[in-house]
Amino acid sequence: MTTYFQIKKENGIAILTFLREDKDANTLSEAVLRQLDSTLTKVSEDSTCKGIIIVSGRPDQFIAGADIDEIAQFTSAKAAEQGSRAMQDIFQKISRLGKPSVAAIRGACLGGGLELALACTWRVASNDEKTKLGLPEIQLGFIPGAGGTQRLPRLIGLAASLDMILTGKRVDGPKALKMGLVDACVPDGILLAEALKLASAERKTDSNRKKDLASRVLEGNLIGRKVMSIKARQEVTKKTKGFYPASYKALDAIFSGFETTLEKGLALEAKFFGELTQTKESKSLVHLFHSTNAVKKHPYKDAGKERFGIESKVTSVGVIGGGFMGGGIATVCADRGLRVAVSDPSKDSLARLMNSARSFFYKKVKRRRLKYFEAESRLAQISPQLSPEGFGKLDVVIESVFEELSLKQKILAGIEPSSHSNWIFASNTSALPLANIAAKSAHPERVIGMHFFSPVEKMPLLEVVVAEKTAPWVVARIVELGQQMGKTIIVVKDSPGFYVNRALAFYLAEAAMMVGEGVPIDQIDDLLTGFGWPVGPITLIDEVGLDIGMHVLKTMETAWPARFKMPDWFKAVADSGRLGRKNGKGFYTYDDGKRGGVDPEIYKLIGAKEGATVSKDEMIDRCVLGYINESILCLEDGVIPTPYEGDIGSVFGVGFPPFHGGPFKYVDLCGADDVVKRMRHLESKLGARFAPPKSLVKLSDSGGRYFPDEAR
Amino acid sequence: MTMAHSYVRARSASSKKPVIVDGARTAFVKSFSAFEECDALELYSRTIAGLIQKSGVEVGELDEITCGVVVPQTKNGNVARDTIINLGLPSHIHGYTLNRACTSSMQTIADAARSIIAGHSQLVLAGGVECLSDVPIVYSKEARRFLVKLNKAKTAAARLMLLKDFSASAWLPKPPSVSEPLTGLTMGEHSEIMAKKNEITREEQDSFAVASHKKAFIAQESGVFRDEIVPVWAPPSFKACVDKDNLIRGDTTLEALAKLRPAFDRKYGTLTAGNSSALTDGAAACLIADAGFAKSIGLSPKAIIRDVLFVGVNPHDQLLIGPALAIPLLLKRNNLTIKDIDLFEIHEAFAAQVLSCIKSMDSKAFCESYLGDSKPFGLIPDEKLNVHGGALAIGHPFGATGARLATTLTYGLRRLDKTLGVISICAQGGMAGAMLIERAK
Repeated sequence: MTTYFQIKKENGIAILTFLREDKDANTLSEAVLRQLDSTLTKVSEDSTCKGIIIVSGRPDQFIAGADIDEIAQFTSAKAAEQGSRAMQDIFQKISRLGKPSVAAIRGACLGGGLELALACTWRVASNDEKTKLGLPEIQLGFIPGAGGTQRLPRLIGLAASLDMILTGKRVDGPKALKMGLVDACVPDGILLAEALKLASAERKTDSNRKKDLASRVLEGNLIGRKVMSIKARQEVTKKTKGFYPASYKALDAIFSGFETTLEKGLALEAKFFGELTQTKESKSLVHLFHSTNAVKKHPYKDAGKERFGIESKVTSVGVIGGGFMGGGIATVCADRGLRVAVSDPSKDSLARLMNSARSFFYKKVKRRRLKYFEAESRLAQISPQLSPEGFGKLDVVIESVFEELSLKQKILAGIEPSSHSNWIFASNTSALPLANIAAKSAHPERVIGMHFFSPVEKMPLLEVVVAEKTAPWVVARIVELGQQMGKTIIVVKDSPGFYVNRALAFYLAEAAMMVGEGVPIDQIDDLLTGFGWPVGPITLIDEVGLDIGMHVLKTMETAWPARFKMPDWFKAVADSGRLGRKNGKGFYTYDDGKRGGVDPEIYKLIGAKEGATVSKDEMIDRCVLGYINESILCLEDGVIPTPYEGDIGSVFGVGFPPFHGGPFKYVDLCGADDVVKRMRHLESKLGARFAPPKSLVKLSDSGGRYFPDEAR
Repeated sequence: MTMAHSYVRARSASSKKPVIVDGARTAFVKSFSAFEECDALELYSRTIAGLIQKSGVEVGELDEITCGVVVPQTKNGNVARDTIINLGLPSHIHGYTLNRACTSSMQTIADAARSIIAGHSQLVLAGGVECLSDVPIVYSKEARRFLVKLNKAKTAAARLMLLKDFSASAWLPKPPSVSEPLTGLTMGEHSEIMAKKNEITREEQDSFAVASHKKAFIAQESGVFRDEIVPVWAPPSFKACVDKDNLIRGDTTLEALAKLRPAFDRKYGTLTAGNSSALTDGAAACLIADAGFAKSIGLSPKAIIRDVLFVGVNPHDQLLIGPALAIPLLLKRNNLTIKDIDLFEIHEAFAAQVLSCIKSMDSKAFCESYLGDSKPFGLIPDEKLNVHGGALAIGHPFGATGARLATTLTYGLRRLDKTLGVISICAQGGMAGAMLIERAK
């Protein structure tokens, strides 16, 4: 049997060192828990043992949480509830050991890991950046199931617990000490020594949680807590729009559990946990968790190592074009410790860029994420310049200029002759074919696409676009750069619109077509936000800008003239000086940056028909299935290598509702046969553009799924 | 003869040859103008980042970044090292900050050259900075002692005891001034002494200043300085792109300068704000390399550092006369004469000081007594002197001046198709330095 827990005794204290060598993460599986259980029995029966310390054998991880694969294997709420109860029982054993127990936390202490720590008498955390404590279960669509919703509020109070459990946010050692979550926060080197002192009662807790007035008044009495509960529920509805049942269940578990005994609270928690694991929302979110890991495994990795060895990290980046996008890219680079030079011929653009970078970093100072001098240093790492002098010496140059092929070619040609052999030119084009950008290059193998999403500081996705001639080492290096920038990356093939914009364009075009047919704009938007999109399609066009939208739609029309048609009126609207939010004039009216209602003028401009009769479900299907249809075709064309890239790209790039899991998981959840049926219905009404893709029909016929290994 | 020391060059058998690959500077601006809210770290960081980009040097190859600063820094004691960290440059690059008054960045360049000759370094960014918009304000010694003791006092009683004999007047901060701690006089007062001693008239000084402005203005208008200036977007708003020296006045006239009142000696003085350099903010740096190494990594040098020399003079006599010794000594030991030199860049702290130096070098009496020569060294012709103007017009951020002159001369030799040039700078404490630069082929 694999040994997960090594026991060593020091001065009568048993030190349990947890290390999973069979996995690349310290997770709690059933087997691990069973061994923990028997280890605890052994320790409790040992009369010479005066206390225990639980510590990790990994430098970067205490316990990363429960094994998500095992949770996903539960096929019924009952089974999941029992699983939760079993884990709770083992943790209860720690708290009832009759001997002091200490969790010595270094590195990630998440989910089940934190719940284990909460069951200990004391907790001591290291004070470095690696140490993060949190209960991220909510991000997977369920709630902590091993006592987290019960022990956390009893330890740190309701308000702070709500904040942690409802958002899944992680806190570092010093913050945890301030909250009263840990009893000491010390440098890594003396972590075990201090844990030993706590276990043998040689020192006391440092925790001195000060409750603020509001929480003292509210949390101390039943009425106050009721008020809190109602408030919290309103907050949740506002934030999640009711799409996530786990948030409400978390509230129920926290508030109801707080009014009763720990035992009853735990029973309630387990029941909710069981139910939630079986929801569509949870399955979708767990799927996204898997997908995030799946897309990290791209086939180019070794090519990078081969060329650069271990020292493959990009350290300097050049950005050409100091506009909104270029500024965002530069800011994120500097934030992640990359030196970045930005070139733009306009002094004003660069001034705006530096100013907005400054606001970005100073906001972080205000939120105490950065020290003042760190913000100054990050700003110093952005070098604005009026020409791309010296750009050939940098590691990577990212162009982010206007979408004009000849301009991009000219920029590349201007720097390429002075570039070194490992120099990479990345284009942040959103739709231009990379092959064309590289057409006149002497080294097309060093040309690649980095399609960022706006605003770059906020949007997590990066589409890395690989052209036919792009060298594998270039892909590897750019993926690594993207990871350094903190992005979630999908590697896609060079093709008009790449993946995300292509699927999105079909979705937007379908919405626009309905506007032409006479469906009210706000109705379309409302229906699709009702489906779970963060904003409706027409609002999205306004946000992106009609000029850019127009450019993308045109690219699509050129690429797929048979299937894609930009509504005739679109050009008229775009030419009427409406740019969307950026000039305060679009499909909607804007007042000082705030969106008003639909601009009544717009329908006249469009020449919309009147009295359209489209059912609500059909409206949603037309847009959503339009998106899915195109996603499947992208998979068929090899634009995305696997369905995982499709789901990640959709959720992180354009806000496809996460609780639907992405276009491919959505098909799995509805059933391929159902989706085929709905598409055929649309096909019969609207024409060939809705004909279900061959691969989908095949999948439906065979009763298959895109993700056969995952729970449905 | 007051020369007590023979200035002997340390001849080296080294095969290393120090070269200037490139140079850069910020615009030089009047203190409390465009860079009012900057500090030395910000200005030096921007200059170094700009020079890295401009020269195309691979930062991993750099050995050192050094910096000269004259006025002590409020927060960055070692601006050079802090710049390295601030810019996120590889941490193996080390750096120090020094103070040799106005020759500070001449010294950092000289040190880089020496280090290269000795084979200790191959690639050094050497320069200097001064941000007179941000200077430390010093309290009296009594107040300083009080504060330190208060900090050390453990008990309330001890703290009260300290208060007992403390006077309020000690709390008046001392305004900063550019004066000699050991002569008690300011630089201007010392230059007044020199003007009188060398019989430099007000008119001579004013017309020298006007000429400096005119030459600098023409250079500015024709884009000469564009080669050397790195544009800086000045924090905190970053709104203004500062890429132009703002002290140069092409429209200044003798009549206008004649109206100014003497600044240092109200009664008999001839030095005014118009013929003295102004308090300036700015930074400058040069990339110094070993010629062979530069070539091996694809950098092409613009100039060769042939020789450097520093002198000291009696501060009570003529504080800023150093260049009149340094230049002849430097040229003589290289077997050169004024005729061989195409361009001179002599720092213009005060018109009276430059004119004193020029006059002294051409004076038999001076050369006899100071250099032990039987005949005058010679007159530097106007057309070779400060052809793009000098500090009187461009400004004088103390720490940055040496690197500015090296940069300007390097570009000047190339632009005007000349071969040899000399820079010389006088400094507080009765010192001066001179450097011989040859255009690289």
